Amino acid sequence: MSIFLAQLLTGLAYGMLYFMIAAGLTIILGVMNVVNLAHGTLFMLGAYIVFTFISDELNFWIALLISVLLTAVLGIILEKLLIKHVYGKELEQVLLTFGLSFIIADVVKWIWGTEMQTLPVPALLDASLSIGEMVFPLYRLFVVFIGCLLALLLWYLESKTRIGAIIRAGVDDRAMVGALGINVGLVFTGVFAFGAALAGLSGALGGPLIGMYTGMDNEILVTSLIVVVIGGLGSWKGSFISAILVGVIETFGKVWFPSLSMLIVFLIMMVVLIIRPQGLFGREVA
Amino acid sequence: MLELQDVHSYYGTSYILQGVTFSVSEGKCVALLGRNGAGKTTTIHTIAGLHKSKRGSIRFKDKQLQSLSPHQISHLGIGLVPQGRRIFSSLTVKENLTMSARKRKANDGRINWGLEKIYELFPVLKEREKNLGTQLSGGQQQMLAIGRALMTNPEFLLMDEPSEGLAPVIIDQVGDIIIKLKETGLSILMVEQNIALACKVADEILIMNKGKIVWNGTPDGLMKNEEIQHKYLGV
Repeated sequence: MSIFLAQLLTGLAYGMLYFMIAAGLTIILGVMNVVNLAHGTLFMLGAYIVFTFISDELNFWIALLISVLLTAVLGIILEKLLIKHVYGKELEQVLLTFGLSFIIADVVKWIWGTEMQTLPVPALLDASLSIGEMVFPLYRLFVVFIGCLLALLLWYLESKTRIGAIIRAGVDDRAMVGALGINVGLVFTGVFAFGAALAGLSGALGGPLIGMYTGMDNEILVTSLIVVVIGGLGSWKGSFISAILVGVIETFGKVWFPSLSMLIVFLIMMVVLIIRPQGLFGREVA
Repeated sequence: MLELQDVHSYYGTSYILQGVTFSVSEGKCVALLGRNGAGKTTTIHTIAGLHKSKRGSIRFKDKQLQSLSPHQISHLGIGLVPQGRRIFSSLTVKENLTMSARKRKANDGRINWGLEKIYELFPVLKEREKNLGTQLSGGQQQMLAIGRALMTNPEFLLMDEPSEGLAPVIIDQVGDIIIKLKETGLSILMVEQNIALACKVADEILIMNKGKIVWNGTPDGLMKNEEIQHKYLGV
């Protein structure tokens, strides 16, 4: 029983991590119709930035903040300089963002090398919570908590604020939003920066869980694409459910059927797509 | 207030506006009539910046509009009530109104439109403020589209076929609303297919055919001129 619960928590922690990554990806996709294939490298970059600033004797939390800010600024630069020229051009978007992911990944290798690294669990959370005979690592509980907090924040921003209404209106009819006096270009830059910052945040929080290694960016990208597809393109609520599903099933799969764990995730995706081609929470496409 | 001078515009290779020239003076309502495909909606879109003109000048209060983007044009004080209403389907009635809200810049003694004032003008929108915009009837959606444009506190309103798809009794209501708006000092350029509505509310009528203004005059002048009605409006 206690092993089961510990595995469940691990699965939930991974699920929440996937959610934080996939949320940025799916929001950018839903609002701007851009599949940002560089999202995985932004995640990796987020982890390495924390790694750097922690080595400079800074506290984990300050390093995390720096990481979120830097990835947001990078998001602004990428959108203003490159992405904004390829709106509505899918093939160009794929080539551009995929190319960017290679460039950023190589820059990461060039700066930090190819050695595997890990981030230390922040001292404040480097403990375990014992309930009866069960032991829960505090950091994993914390990641689950932050994931739930993010979901709450997204819900609030989307449904209770004016900027949320503007963004939803932009998904419905972008030209009309512009004609009502809203600078859609600025909204897009903001959304892209927000998505990039989420990638940075999840990289920073994921570092202590999964470490940093060459190729992690693509692994994470594939997993978050699966999460986005299962949840329904552009729906962060769908991604929340599907990320938990993927995280938990993947974790139990690794324990029970170690050789099949990745396959299981793909199987879920297949089943969901057969039953609901638009994903769990996706908009129906006529 | 608004002045178009020899405006030309294209959709791909089709030549839509072939030298459009007209003006709307402050406080007036001008109706633009013409058959389908004459270029009426393109004229509205070109003024609002949703469509770029190739040549010619569009001036609004001494500012050139043709190189500005839609949001900049909106901020100069031009509101759009588009064809088909284009209500945001995933927003509630209230959100449709508040998302674009902007306070009046000039302190010119005119109404400062806000949620309360819009609900006064259209009480039915208050009753249904929590509904999604697309759950409203056609007439209510038209009121919402007008309210949404008013929330940006424009000095000039572009209305593209406000009577489209509405029952006659609702068209009368829309006409009354337009007259009320004119009385607040708003200048209006309206595209219409409904001649009766246009003649009821407009001070001046323009008729467009094949991308050019081919006739202009008063509503009375149009009602008396059966030849023009027959030739360009298919009456």
